[in-house]
Amino acid sequence: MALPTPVEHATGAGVLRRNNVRVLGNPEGRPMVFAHGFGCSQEMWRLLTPGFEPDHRVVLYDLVGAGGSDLAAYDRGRYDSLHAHADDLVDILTVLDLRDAVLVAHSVSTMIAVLAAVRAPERVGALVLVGPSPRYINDDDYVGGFERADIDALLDTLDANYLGWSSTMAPVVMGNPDRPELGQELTDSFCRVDPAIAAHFARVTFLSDNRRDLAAVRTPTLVVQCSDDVIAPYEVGAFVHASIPGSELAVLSATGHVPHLSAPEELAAAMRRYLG
Amino acid sequence: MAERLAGGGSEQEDALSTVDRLVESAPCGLLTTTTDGSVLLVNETLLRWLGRAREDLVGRPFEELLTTAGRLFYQTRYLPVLRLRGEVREAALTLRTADGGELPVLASSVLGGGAEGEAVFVALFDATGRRNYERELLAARREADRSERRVRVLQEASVSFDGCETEGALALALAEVARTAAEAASSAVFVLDGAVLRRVAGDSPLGDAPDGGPEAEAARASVPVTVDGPSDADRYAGLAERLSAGRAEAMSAVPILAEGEPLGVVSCYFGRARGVDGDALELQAALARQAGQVLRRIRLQDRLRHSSLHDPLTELPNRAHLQSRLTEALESSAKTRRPLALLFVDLDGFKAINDRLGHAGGDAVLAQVAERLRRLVRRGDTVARFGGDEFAIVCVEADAAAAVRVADRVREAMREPLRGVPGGYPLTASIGVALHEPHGEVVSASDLVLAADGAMYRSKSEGRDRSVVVRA
Repeated sequence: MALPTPVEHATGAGVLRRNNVRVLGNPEGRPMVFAHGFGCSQEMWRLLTPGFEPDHRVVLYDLVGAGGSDLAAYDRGRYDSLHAHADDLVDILTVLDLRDAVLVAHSVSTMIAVLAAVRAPERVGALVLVGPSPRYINDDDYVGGFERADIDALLDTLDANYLGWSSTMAPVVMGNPDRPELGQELTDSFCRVDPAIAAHFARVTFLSDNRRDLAAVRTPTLVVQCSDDVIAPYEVGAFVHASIPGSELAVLSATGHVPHLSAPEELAAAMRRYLG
Repeated sequence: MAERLAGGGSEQEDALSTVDRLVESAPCGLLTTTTDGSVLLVNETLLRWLGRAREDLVGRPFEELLTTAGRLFYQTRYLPVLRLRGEVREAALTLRTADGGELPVLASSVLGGGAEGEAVFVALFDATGRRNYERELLAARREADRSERRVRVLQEASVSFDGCETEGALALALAEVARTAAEAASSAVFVLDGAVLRRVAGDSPLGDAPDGGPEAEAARASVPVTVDGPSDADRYAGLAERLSAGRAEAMSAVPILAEGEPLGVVSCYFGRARGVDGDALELQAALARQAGQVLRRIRLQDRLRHSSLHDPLTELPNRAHLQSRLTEALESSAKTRRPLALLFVDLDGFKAINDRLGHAGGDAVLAQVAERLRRLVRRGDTVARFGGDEFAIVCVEADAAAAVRVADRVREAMREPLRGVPGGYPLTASIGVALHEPHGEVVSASDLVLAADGAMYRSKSEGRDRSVVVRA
């Protein structure tokens, strides 16, 4: 298998296509780059970003392997750690020539954004880390929230969801929802999942350890912690806050792991309060 | 459906209670939650499956009913899709029952509006049989995929290795196929040069000569060596830091063996801490074995090629090699229009030495002569042993003066005393120089040899220890 050569993607168009980059909003505004988490694609941000479009240049993209990205670029050796994803993010910042950008990152992308901010501090003005976790697995005194066996069981669950053969047995008893504002305009790439990539990316996401990278961050950082987030519990958010020098911690009343879908207004307010 | 309607007499109430009974005892679990996931209503079937009372569930988050892995999937995939698309169909989740058991289910959910605002309607189907069946199929397919992949990797490697003519090409092929097979961030091939490993292909965070690390151990002990992560790397001084500087945290180093003898090491480097599983390591070892055999073959061929073109006594190019070297030099001379000289060197007095010292002593003298000739020629010139006590020197870009200078140096060197030769056995050289100055005429290597040979005989007949120059 040939590596995606740096030359091939060194062109701006190559990078933008590879990561399915979309640029919206106010071209004069402060750039805001949204990096989605494990399990979905840039569609995750659709309830949050419209509010920032009038006064920000909004950049959305898909991690390679997710959504509308170039799946052929997913070299499993290269993407076996978060380093390559961080290089991709730096590529995007460089190709769009962004300065003072706000990186708004969720879930696994929080560590990708951390690595990118350390690599290209001249382009990143602020980090907003939503539900960050530098390591999901418990380790001595460190509470990550999971055991290795939980992650193996997750891989099993992914198999069951993406690799099952049996045709659908369960009827949808409730009928279709009448929610035209959602779903209708979603593209084919909506949360597209390649089963093999999803399983590989799950390993990279949940088995990486980026705790030692946090101390190198010199970018102003807001850590956004939800209430009752089973994936990134409060202790983990507090650990990230304590490890990134000068960071601030905002605890939302929103529950769960995806406040940009469950409580976009509260998240937006916390971001605006921090960014001023 | 949470509260059973009291049985009534009217037809409407009868109809309602029929619907109610259907909902409560349908062969699937039914529940509704708030958009935040708090359970609002739940049917009897689900309560029975879970072994829980209604009041244990109502008001509690639905995700608490799930296994940890189920919650991970529910939060990262199920809920986002439900919120974005308004529905989720047949997600495979696992419920935890009150007695500590697990119940695999298929869950379908829709977001719906109601009098009390939005709610999530969920139907759960017992998927125990299906899950077990699929798991077996999946395990079988995994196993089949794995062995198919292994065979394919080894076959492709075999084709790719067999096409390699040089060590460098083989090392490149091995590095690439090992990286792909192991899904590693980078890979490198090192070859043993004496006791030292040198990188000949690929990229390594450890640089060109990884002394004292896992590669050295793999080569020394002829066993694969793995490093799972930074703390494991502490077995070797400074290794974690060197890996980290190259954005690697784990690695596997496998010796390249041929007939049990280590020839080198192939290493894979990983961007995160991870165990290198037995299958992957075995595959890397199988690739290294294949490459080891090919490397041995290439080295054998190199040796055969070398011996077919060199004189075993002096290690100088032989007559066949001289012929091809001379042809190359003539072609290049025709292109550059620069002159070329061929020196034919015949030793005077060697026969007497050989008769006195015997063949072994004569051979030792020839080896000394070869060594002297090799030292005194210019860079780019070729010294060959033509046969017996005859040597030839191809001097590229040499005019008459330059060729004579070389010839003079040769004659001078021959007069120096020789180890193991008693006094009274002088050795000198008679030299014929064929000078070729390209002016469009075609001259073959044989023409040049013939001319130099003739000139050498003139030197002999004119009194030995001299040079005669002819143009050819």
